[in-house]
Amino acid sequence: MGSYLVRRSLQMVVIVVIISMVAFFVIQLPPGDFVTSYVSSIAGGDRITQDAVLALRQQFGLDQPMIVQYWRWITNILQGNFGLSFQHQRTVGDLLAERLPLTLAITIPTTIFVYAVAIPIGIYSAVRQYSVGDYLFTFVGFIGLAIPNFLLGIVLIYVSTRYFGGNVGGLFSPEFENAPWSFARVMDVSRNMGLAILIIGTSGTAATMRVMRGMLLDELSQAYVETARAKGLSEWRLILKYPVRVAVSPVLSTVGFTLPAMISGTEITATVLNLPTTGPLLLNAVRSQDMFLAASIILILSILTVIGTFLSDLLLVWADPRIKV
Amino acid sequence: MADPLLTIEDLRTHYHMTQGTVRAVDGASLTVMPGQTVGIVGESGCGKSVMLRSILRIVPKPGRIEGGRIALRREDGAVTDLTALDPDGREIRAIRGAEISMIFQEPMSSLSPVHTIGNQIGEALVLHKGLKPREARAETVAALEHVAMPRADRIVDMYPHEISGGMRQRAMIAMALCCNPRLLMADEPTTALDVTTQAQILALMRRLQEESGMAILFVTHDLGVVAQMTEFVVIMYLGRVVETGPVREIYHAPKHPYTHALLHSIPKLGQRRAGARLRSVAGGLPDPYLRQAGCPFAPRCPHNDGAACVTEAPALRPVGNGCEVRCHHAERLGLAGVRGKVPA
Repeated sequence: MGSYLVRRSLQMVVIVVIISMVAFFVIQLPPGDFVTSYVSSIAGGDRITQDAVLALRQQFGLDQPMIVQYWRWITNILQGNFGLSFQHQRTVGDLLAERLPLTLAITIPTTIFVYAVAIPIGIYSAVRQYSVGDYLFTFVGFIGLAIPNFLLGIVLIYVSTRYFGGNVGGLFSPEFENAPWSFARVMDVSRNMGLAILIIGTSGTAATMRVMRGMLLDELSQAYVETARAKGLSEWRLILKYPVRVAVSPVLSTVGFTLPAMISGTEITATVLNLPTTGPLLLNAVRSQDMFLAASIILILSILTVIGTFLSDLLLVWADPRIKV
Repeated sequence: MADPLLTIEDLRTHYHMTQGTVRAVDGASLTVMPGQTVGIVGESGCGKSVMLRSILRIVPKPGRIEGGRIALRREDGAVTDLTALDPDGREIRAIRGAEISMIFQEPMSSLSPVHTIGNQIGEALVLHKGLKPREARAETVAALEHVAMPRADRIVDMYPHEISGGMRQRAMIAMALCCNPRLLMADEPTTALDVTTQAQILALMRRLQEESGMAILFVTHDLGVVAQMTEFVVIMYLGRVVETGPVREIYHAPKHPYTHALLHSIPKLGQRRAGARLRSVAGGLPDPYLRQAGCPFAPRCPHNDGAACVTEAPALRPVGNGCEVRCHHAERLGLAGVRGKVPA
């Protein structure tokens, strides 16, 4: 086990280094750079001289060869300096410090929500296959899968402003936007966060529920379930102890992939809901070729992915004694 | 004569499918005396496994017991009709694994891959004997030693994939016997094992039976195993009992053409040199959704008379020497048995 951990950790470092290179180069693949997109966005009336453009390039270091730019970027990151966001004219570190905690504050509860809701429903659906409840959850599940989360967000915003006069979107209601932290503000944030979690988690819940149902249905007809039944265990007890235990480990092993998916896969929903998370930040950064910001977010996402996969693997090793490390 | 431990009368277990009804067990009867070993023999699909599952009330859906009686004599002498119990109820669960236990064909898939051997055996002890987990562990090691498991104190913490097929079946037997059942049901327990392991497992079961005095209901399609293991044989065909009798009678003087065909489909040493061909039972099992009039075996029977055999279903009737046969012509056929010693 010890040597496995060391081996995997070394692998992770190598993978992250490779990803950082790929991320940095891919960001710059589109023609032009930040200066061209910046110039075209402000070039409405005034003409910008070629000299000014060159000066800007020089100022941002964009005139250097790519490999030099990468080396500067990565060595700075190792010293804790993520560089400057051209667009925001602030350090990337600042922007991330603002957005990442809120992103995690939404992502982690959403992940918990997805599994806490989907697994019990999946179990129920499989055990009571073709019952009214199963059909109902199947129906709801397909709807949840078919409707994009952002559309659900729009509908929810409409319904709550139209019929309840409530305020949806953002993490803070207007009256708390700039207020100091207080009990009322915490309550306000949790209420808004609850809605965000519900909307962002819907499709994940629907998918996980279907996977859990399918995995468990396969296991329910296995011979060891019959052995447990012949032993005299009560039906629910034996189902939870044996087939659920076997069926749940591959489902849980996907937890690693949900981590980055929640952060980057929710740009549109987060934009619609006006959530101050990293998703919209990444979307804008890529659009305006704000390369240090985009590359940093992608780097962080890939580190999270690698860590998440590692945790999933550990979880699988723990859950299934047949897996050798 | 003592009172029977288990009496099955006219048991009918049917599967209601969208394509029709499959009568997996269709009016089967048998009796098991305390301490007796009864073999149930038949081709795949004759309903023998479903019958065992009917006894424990664990028939998988959409199977249902449609009629008949399964009378179990309890420890205190009272008789319980198992067909009348709620299959999820407390009463049948107290019987499963404690008074009647079962071992299955596939020792690999019949054990949970993600729980240790000790966990799976100890669970029955906690459930039926009310032991604490630590006591159950010590008992489990003892149970494993009892089935001659090597290094029982280490095996107890191992997972099924870490031990061999024969050891897994030993673990299954230890699990089935840890609560001292009065009836052990074995559903082809050695079919998945190689021949030498099979012999060891059978010898183990005989020894355990002598020690505990439990009865065994032994399901197999292997007549050789039946000869080794049982005193009394029940031959099943299409959900019905077609012949019953002491093992020697069945082997030396079969009365039913199906029994005869089964006996002569076993390869014998020297058969090839003698020029005799191995005979298989003619034809195959008929469509399970169809039920024709007359004797169920008539379409495959070489003695089919074309009259009573196809119009009138024969009843199971006594023909002497402790045998019962479901055939119109049992006495007249004079079927040949197999020679050789049948261990008593």
